[in-house]
Amino acid sequence: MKNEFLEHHLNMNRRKFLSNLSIGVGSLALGSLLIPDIFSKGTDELAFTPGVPHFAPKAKRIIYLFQNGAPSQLESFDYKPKLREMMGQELPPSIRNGQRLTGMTSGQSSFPLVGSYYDFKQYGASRAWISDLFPHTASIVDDICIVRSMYTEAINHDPALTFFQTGAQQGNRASFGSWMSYGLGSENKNLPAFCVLLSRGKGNGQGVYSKLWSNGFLDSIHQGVQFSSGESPVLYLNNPEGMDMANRRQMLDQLAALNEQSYKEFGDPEISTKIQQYEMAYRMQTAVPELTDLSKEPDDIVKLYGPECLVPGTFAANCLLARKLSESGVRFIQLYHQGWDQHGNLPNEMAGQAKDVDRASAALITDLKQRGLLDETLVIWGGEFGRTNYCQGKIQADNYGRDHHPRCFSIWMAGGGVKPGIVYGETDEFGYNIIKDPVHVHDFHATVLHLMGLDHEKLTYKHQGRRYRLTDVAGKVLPGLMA
Amino acid sequence: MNEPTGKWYRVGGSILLAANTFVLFLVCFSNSIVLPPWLQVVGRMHPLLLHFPIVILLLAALIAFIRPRDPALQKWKHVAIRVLLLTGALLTAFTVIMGIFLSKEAGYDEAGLQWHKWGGVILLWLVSALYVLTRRQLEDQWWMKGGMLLVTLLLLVTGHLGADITHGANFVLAPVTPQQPKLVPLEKAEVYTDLVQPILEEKCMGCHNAGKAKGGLVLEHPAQLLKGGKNGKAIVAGHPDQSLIYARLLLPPDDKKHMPPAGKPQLNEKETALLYHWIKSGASFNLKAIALPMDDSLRMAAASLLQAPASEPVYDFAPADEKLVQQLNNNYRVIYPIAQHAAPLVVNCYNKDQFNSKTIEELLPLKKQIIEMHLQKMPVEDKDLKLLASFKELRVLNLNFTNIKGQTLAELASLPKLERLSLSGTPVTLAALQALKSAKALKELYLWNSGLAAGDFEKLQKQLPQTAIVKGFIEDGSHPLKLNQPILASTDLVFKDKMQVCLRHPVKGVAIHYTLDGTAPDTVNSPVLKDSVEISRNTVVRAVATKNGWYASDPVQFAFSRTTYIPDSVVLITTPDGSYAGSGALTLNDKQRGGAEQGNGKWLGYYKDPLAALLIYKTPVPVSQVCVGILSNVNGYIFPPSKIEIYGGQDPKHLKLLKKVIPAPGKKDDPSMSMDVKCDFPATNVSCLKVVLTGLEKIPDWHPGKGGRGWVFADELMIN
Repeated sequence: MKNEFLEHHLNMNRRKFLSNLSIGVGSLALGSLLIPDIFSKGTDELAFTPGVPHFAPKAKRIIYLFQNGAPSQLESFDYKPKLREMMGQELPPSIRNGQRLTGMTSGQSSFPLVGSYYDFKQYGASRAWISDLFPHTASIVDDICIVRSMYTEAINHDPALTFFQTGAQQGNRASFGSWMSYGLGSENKNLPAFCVLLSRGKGNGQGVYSKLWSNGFLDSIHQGVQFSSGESPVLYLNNPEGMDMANRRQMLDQLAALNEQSYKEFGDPEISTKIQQYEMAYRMQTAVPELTDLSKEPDDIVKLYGPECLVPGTFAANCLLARKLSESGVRFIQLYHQGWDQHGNLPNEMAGQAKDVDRASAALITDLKQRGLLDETLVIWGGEFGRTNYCQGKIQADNYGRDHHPRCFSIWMAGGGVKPGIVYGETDEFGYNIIKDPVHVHDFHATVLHLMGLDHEKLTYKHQGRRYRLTDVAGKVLPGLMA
Repeated sequence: MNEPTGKWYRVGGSILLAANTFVLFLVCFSNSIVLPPWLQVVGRMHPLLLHFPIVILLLAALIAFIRPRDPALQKWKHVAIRVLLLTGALLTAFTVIMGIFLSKEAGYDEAGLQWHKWGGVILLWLVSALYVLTRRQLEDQWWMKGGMLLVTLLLLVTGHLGADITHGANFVLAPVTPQQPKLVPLEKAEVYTDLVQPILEEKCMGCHNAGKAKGGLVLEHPAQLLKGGKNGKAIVAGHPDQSLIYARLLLPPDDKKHMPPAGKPQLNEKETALLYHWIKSGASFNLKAIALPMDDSLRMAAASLLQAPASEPVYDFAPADEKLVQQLNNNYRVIYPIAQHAAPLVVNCYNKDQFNSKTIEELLPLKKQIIEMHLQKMPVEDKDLKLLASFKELRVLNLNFTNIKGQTLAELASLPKLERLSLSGTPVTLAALQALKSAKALKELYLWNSGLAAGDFEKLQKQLPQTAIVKGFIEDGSHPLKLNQPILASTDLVFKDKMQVCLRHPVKGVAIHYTLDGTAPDTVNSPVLKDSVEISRNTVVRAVATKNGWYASDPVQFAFSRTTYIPDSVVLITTPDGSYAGSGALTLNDKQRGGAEQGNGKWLGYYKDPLAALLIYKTPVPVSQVCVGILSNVNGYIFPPSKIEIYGGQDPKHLKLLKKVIPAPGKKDDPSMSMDVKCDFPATNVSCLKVVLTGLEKIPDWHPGKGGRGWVFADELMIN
């Protein structure tokens, strides 16, 4: 045995050492070639502190004006004169190219193209085409970036909506706003970081469910807080009769002591979350009434948003409230306006829906701008997918419908580091396929996160043995959308 | 090394001679040659082949300067030079031929190409000549060395010119030569000279210059532009669509008339937009961009073209003590770094009751790091601005809706880096704002809803030419809006003896004109509602809202019904359909009307059974009318009942039929509506009433659900 050791040592001469070394160096080199960041320092998880952006953000807050039901791009921002020319003619199969259809039109034997009932005009420095249904949006065209090349994977409302709101078609993931709350924290500790406001138009509607603003696997403090559309937007915030603030304080202190005790016993993080939520609710008792009081708004504001803004539960009122919440440091304000699902009676219903939202959406941009807040607030307007260029059901001169279309649709964004006054992306002359600069939902998320100062690949949360991201395993930041 | 046999030299020499002749031919007749596509492929290999002659000729030049003492080596040198020169010359010849082929493709800068071409051709001739001369072993002659030096020089120059063509001028030195931003600042830019002309120069004047003047159009001087070309006017001021210079851009790219022609660099969207707006605005040749209003399309197009790529801001200060930041942070004063491991801090303040001068004063230790302060709606006073002025790193300051009046704005002018200042909602005046003249870095100033009059903005803009002044939305009364309709303060539409009808409107200062007699309310003669109006019988209240500066609202109407005898209890004998159970029996007696929608929980819906309800009074009441509120929505299969029967008596077991009413049947295309069906009968003393609504047994033939059963919906019973 001893001899063998000795022999080994004797054999280990300089030549052998160097040749062995070269193998080692070679494998190191190979390793770094195969896994580029194998030697870079640390993993993302150690470096990431929730609550602080990864890099200097362009936008601090988001107001997302979600148009639920999927507004037609062909009557709003994607001008296709060819469809009018070819009114009633069959959609060429080469254009459809095997696109799967919903159950609502898959039984249709023909797919007659149908052009917009409404005319389009060009506006602004970018000469963007906008339909006559959106005159107020047209008036702010120099402040917004119209994206005509959004696409998604889902063809029905719930999966598509869930995809937009959580980055996955099935439920139970964390919502966009929850990720934002987790990644950036709350600016104003007296209000929730993520608020949800609902309104409803007269058009054919689709439901929204609280799973869309769920915190998923994230801590429940990141859950969206739904404001009710009645006279008092946050329920049970007032002290009941006979209870004053001092009493309330005392009650909360006692409750916190009890909760603290059981936290020590069980260590359930939900308990400490609960303590924080009670504390925030206490502070909300003073912050919210001031916020939701619209009576002090100057007359000009009522004229800007339209008189509907004083009627609780309307889209206009929610836009005004969203501006106030955002001004007070709420990170993510999610509006949903329902009623955009025009399978039939499109010209009529779409006009009503547009009337509901057009003035107030534009007013929100103007209002943020005149306060110097547009630079730091990102406003997004859009639905979950687009609508088909062919008619669903019987085609008539003034009445037609459009089915769901995932391959292209239009949204617009404004403020917060988005390149203003541009039209991004392009669809073919049939308005069916994207021919330039496609934007997938994951790309959209990645870009928005980037504007908020977050690297979408580093904003992760480990759950059930796997790290989750809003963008799952895809998505790329699109510099073309950013100023 | 063995010298190659003379045969190889002869073959090589002949090819070289042939190639030289061919090059001469190509150079002379290059303008009249049309290449077949496969030769284009050969031509495109020029950048590949050219590296060989460079290396071989440089090697030959190097060897020419070696002076071996050994005669054997001397011999070797001679052979090497000959072989290298021959190979080099041949390769140069092929490279030149390929290069000339390649040059036939469009899109190269003509001037640069000429120099490069001639460089190559001269090099070829020089190398060929040197090769011929080496037959006589003259390598050590001075002119031989000179020739080799010349070859080296030519190689470098020609190679460099070629690289310029492929990679762009100044490719090699670009990283070390400081980039001179060619962009003119917007404040100085003239729309024609600094924006339009450069576009024309770059994209159009290759052909439309005084030399070529294609289509008779020259774009070098304004006068020539105005003159136009053979096909018409290049510009028609105010009408881009008639201006050929713009209209031709819009033609489809495969159109023969499309400009610039296919293969030439096209105008990008920004440039196209600029041309459009310039022509649209009158195609002036001496307009300054800054003379245009802030929101003018041409100015914006100009600004977007002139916009230098935004550079990331640099902060050259040390981070603050983290503990100190944490200490100063609380629920109402939030301090956070702009990013992880970044020194700059942002401060937000909330809740005005928690704010005073100290809130700012306590931040002074962080004055070297704070770059943004958001104090909107906080009670910041004029005197606090002096304090704020010590935060020299401030870039963004938001003072919207604070208490400042503006006397001390001069303090803020001393902030050297302040870029964005928001003063919306404060009564600052023009005089006070003039103090900001010395704020050199100020780029954006927000003055919506401030003390400035409409005319003041222009004056202020002249004083602050570098600053974008945002005046925001000003309602000048030119586009009045329509008011929304008044709303009822209470949802009760049924009353017992009398009722105070109270209408409200969300907009302050609105007058509500109303009528009680069913006539249309008018905004002049109809009385204005003061708080409320009393009614005591069935009444339709109609109302409109008016206010100065607004269009009157659409009229709204509310029908109020009286019910004299409210039963002490109501019992449903039959059960309503599960989806439309309302609040059970109470639904018929809750003073609430159902409205237009059956699914709102204010209606009772029956499908299989008739609706049968029992109303019980503890003391007998003289009843002469039962009024039944029903819904009709034929498209939704909801029909008026086929009959309504009213029974009355002293107790539920002894009831007799008091009245049977057959309501008007539903007709095709009837709109969805709620209505009251009155059942009148001679006054009868009853303690108990039974109301039965029988649904339509058979839906008529015009309806898609013909032959089926109709739904019955009821919302209220009024007993008089």
